[in-house]
Amino acid sequence: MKPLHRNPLLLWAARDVIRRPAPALLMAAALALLLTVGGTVLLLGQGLSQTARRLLAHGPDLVVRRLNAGGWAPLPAAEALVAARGVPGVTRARARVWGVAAGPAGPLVVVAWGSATLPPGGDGGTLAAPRSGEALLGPGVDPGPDPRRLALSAAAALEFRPVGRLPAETALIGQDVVLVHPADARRLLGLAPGEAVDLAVDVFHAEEAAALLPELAAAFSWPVRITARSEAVGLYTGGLARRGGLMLIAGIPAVLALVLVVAGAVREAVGRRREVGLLKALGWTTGDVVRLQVYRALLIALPAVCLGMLAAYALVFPPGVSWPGSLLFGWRTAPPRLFLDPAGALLTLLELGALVVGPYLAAVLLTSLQGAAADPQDLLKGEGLL
Amino acid sequence: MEGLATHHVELVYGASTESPRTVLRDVSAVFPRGGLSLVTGATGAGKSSLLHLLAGLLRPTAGEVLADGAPISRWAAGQRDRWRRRVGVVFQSANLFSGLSVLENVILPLVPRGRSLAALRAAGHEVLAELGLADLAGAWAERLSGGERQRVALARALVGRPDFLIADEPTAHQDPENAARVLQALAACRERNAAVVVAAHDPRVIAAGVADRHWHLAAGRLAAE
Repeated sequence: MKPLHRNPLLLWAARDVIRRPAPALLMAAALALLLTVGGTVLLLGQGLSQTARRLLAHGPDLVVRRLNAGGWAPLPAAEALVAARGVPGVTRARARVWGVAAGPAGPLVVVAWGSATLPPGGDGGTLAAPRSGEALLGPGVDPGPDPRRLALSAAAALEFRPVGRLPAETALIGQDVVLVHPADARRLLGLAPGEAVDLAVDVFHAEEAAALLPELAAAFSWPVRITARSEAVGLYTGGLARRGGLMLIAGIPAVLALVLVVAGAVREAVGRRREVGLLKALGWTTGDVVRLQVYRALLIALPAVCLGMLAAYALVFPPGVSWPGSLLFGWRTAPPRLFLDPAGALLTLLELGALVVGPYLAAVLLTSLQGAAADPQDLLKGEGLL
Repeated sequence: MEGLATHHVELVYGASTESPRTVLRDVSAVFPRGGLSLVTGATGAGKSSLLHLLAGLLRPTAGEVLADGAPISRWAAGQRDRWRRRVGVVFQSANLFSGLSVLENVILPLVPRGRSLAALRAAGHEVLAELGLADLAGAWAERLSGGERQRVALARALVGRPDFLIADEPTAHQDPENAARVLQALAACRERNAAVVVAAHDPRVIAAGVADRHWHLAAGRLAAE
């Protein structure tokens, strides 16, 4: 493209936009809104999936749970660990204790936490594993009227002293989690000493984890259900996606808006027959007229699309964004503040931008080509100018 | 032959309808380069239609329109588009673009021709000065008087230094001083070896004696005066 001062046609297109600002602004607003709505839905789904995948990447490759006729059953930890560690390819296995207990403001996930390292706390300090009677709270856990004590009840009712909070960045998976000492967890959940809820198993090659499933299942003397990490990620993000599907309802008006945008572009181009006829009478060629219309469309669409993309990004990725939590997780209180991973967001937005701008530009191009290719005789006669 | 010519041209409006109206009948005429041809006739005689044919805006129902010997009426739309760059047209009703300044209206024909904006503005100011419109360069087109509009339309037609100038009532609504300016500009265009064709009612145009040829149109037939 020529430099701007050598390209009066581009300047003329800008002048034309300013000349009739109302239709240009309406079109730009429609395009920006379309990008904002569509981009927000897409980025949210993608950000949640990416972030869940990243957070769950630190989890075990496989999780083994014991089945009985009633559903899940506690497993004998020592025996299970020996069986799992005896399977070739297994590098690490640990027994876990966790369950659901009623908290002051609703159900909470109680997890026994021993000596493993923890991420820095929500206040930036280092978190130590909780001792007996202590609890580390997830970002969304409300201890109730007295912040110095947390009452939980499951198989037993216990009180804990909150000693720290997990960082807000873990909210996507740790919002309603309470970490307690393993002995406290067993008491609270009604597990006998030596019993565990499941086994977390790591394997030498994570990508071959699925191949180990039959051998691992056969190593136990009771029926088990083994879940691979990929399956866990799928279940997690699938659950979110189902709720997120509701947001796609917002996509229906967005598609309608795109149709209206295209129809508007066509109607405007058709309404310019008189001007096109006059321009051709003044020596403009079909190519000149089409270039003018396309430049004009680009001048309207590109800032609008950039604005829409920025708005979508700003709605989804500010650290600690809270509105998607209340929408997607359905919690009545304290929706999680999310720290979503923006990797790949630019590409998604560019693809969406192309999907929106493409039909708009195509409508402008085809309509202006069809109109401008006519003889001035046909363009001006109908307007009463000849 | 250099210039514009019609060869047994017939123009019928609504030819395919039940009530066709014949506007021009067997019109054969030559409008040479370096000449100013005046076309007169009563209102509705078909002067504007003849001018639109010569400007390549209409196609004849029969016969041919020639430009420098080339049959432009038979050309495809794209070829006629390119040829029209060499034509300056002044419509009977100025047909200026609203929402644009006088200068912007004037330089409009040059915008797609790849010259710098500064060159376009310089060309626009020059032709506006010739027609006594220098002070109105920044004025909005829709705020002009009828005479000013017509002079702006003439400036727009002249700005590209056309080989063929077709002007429909260019002196309409002009006071004597500005009418003289308009005629002077038409004569100057002729001096640049353009073929100038002017349709006029205005007796001042005839009286001024600037026309080299005078054609009269009556009942669709063109005759030399």
